[in-house]
Amino acid sequence: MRRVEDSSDLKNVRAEILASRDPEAVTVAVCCGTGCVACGGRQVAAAFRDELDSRGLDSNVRLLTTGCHGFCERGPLVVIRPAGILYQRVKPEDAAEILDTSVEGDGVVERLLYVDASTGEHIPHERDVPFYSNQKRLVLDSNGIIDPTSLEDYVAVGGYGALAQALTSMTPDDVIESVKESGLRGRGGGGFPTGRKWELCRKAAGDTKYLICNADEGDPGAYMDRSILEGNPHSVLEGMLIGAYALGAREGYIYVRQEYPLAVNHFSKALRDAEEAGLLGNGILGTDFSLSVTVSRGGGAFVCGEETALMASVEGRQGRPRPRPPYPAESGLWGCPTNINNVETWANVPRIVEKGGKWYAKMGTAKSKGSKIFSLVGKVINTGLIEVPMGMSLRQIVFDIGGGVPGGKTFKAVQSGGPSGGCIPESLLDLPVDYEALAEAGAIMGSGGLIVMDEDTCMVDVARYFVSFLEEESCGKCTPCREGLRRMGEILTDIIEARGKPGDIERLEELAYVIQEASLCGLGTTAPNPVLTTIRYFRDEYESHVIEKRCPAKVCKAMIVYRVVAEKCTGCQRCVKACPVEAISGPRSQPHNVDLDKCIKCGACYEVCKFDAIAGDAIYIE
Amino acid sequence: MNELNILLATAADATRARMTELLEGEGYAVTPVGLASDLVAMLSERGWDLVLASDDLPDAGVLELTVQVHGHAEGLPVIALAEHPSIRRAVEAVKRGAHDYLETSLSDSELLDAVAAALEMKLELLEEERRVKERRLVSFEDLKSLEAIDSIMEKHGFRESRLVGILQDIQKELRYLPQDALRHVAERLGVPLPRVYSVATFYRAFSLKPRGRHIIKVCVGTACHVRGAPKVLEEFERTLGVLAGDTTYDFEYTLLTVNCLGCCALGPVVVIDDEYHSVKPWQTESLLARLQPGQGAARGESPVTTMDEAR
Repeated sequence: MRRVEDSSDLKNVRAEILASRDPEAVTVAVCCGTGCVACGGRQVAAAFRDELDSRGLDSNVRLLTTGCHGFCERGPLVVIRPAGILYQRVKPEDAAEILDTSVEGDGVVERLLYVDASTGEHIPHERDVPFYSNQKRLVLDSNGIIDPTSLEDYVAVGGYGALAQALTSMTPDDVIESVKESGLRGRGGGGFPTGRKWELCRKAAGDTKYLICNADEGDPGAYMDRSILEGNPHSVLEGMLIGAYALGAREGYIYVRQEYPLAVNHFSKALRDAEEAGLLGNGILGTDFSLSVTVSRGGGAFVCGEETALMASVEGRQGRPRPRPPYPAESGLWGCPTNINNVETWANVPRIVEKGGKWYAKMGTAKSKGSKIFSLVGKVINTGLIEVPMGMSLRQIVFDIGGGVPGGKTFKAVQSGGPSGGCIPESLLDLPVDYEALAEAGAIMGSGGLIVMDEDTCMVDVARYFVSFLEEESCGKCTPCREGLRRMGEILTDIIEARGKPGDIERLEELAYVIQEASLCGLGTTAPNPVLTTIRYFRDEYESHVIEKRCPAKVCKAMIVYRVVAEKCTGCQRCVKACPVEAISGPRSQPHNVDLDKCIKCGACYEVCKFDAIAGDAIYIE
Repeated sequence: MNELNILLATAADATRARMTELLEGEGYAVTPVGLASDLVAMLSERGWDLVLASDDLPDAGVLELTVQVHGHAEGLPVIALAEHPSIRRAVEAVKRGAHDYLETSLSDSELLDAVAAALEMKLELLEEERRVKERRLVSFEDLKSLEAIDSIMEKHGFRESRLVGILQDIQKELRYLPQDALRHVAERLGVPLPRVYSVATFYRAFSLKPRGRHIIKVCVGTACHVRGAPKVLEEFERTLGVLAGDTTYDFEYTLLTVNCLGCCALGPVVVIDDEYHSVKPWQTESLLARLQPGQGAARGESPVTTMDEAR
């Protein structure tokens, strides 16, 4: 793209791009987000490329490799525009048929359409699929439409318009006022009002100010920040530019998790392109406003998502938190006033500036405005990334958008907020998604990971999972977190391994209280949440483990044995083949036997058995 | 070959003369002294290969002297000579670090054997030291790697604040962080080694041990956990015979865990050399079999489980 001279020239550039494109031209958009790439998205895109080349269609049809569309469960996804036809689970060999039918013809390939599970109806259009139709996409709206590595594409959908608007017609205070008015709150977990944060940093003494984009998305099961960076990196950069203008910062950092190489690539490309186009660097859009942005890669430490730890890491030290105050707004990176927001927060900013804080504040609940992206994962039919207005109920999210629990199993809980969050039971599913409502339930909004759990999930095991996760990730600086989590882990392991004693549950609660009160940073003070919420809502499961030595979900190995139900076994030998330690024997067509001495309780037989003949039965242990 | 230097200390003139003549006759360079203080004074004069010290010295006992010698020259073998040997004192001498404990009136051939044995042991130690040094250098592929490290640091402008990035790039280049690399980085940045070490040991991404040819990462994120990741991990540990975080003895596989890769729809997910797989516990063996030489590289092949099977 050519260099943009000033704000009014941006309109010209956009007009030039649009004029060079035929609005009626057919686009084949192949999702190449990490989820789709993992199941073959790139091969599908390559097949389309070859097919288009060989048909000589490469100049008339645009092949677009986009970022994450969100519907990961059905990947690889292909959307034909402008018709808006969604094809799912596409294989490379389907490319020819799709081109024949929907590009060169005007029909649809029925077998690749999404099928509504309840009605059996084939749904051709992306917008009609319940997964999409129940969403409200502000931040993710361009994800499936633009090529993330193309600045032209971003400008074509109106990109950098908000920056031009801020630089020409708004003072920094106007921008902050607009963000305050919008009610935008930190999307990384804390939920601190963004406008207020900016104001503090702007007012802080000091000429050198920094801004940081926190892309150290550490919560397992949450991948919205990665998808934004991969799918629409310029939206984050535009947000940062507007923020830098409002704060008076000239230097910015983005701290990206090391497991996200594609996000680093796309964002680095965005930085280079924006700088060449005069949208980053010195004299942005012909004004005297300047900003440079540096990419800093994380080293795989969960605690670096905490702002003070993150700054220590950017400075090239061990990522250990320090006590606050002073807050980063007063003394942050290298002792200078610093403003940190996460990816999703920054990506919301251009829209707010463009349409106004009032417009944004119309959406959502009293204290939680706008939309929020969630990754809906775990035991749910439609795994994927969704964006919904604040205030939508968890039931709508899990059942209307997510399609409920697969395999006819019963829903048990949804875990929100990652290792700092909590488990919300069925009885509270009508809870609106809202910072305060979730906190009241003992969970937190967090970065937006929603992990659905069904009857086969043991809540004690889940609690132990999070505690051991945090135990490993604790930086070890303060004692309550370092030692307290270890003791909690020991008690939980005892309970799981059938050594639980009366009083253990109470001891966990007591420890949790101390860790919450006495830890140094957010990692510690929220660490007991998964334990406390599982005790609060699933105390009966804990009691079964401690008193009866029974795991109702049949997960805890020490409390189960696998045996063959002779009446149901047809002797099909599937389990004999699946067993990795040859513990199952028996001739074909006769009930098999499990050798309990050899059995390592891996559950392979249970999963492959088609006749429910292998039962993981709870047993009593003296 | 250089002469081997022996320092001989005994108060008895006759013994001193006899032993000097005998050892010099065998080609050793012998320096005889009559006082312990002389012996100690001579220690720093040149590199010695062996000390022969008798318990008849007027100014120090042979046991104290042994300790003193080692205080000056660690690893220098000392043979203690006793006019009236006793088992108690022999044990004591060895405890204090003497290489051998012999009777002063021993025969010529016995003395020569003992000296030869002590010198041989010393040479072995030297050889071992050299091998250790060499191994370190070889594993580090010395010059080529040093150049690579220098160019990495140059890219980061030799700035201390870029330490995490520097180490990441070195690890990418060498697949782990060898000790020499850390030393080199500390030297070039002008920071203390512990500063570099503290960062190298804090972050999960860094490995101070060499990693295998194939990297197997089992996702243990929450979504994968509830879908059975612990069982998959256990199966890999069982099949490979290593625990998570370790490398097989033949440096073929390194087994790691990772906290969520964000492709939860595929869970439980395993990434082998950047290739994603949706894996059931009982599929680990067939997955590994594909990595064996002659079975075709894993890269570029379709995942073991197709999406439909996985569901």
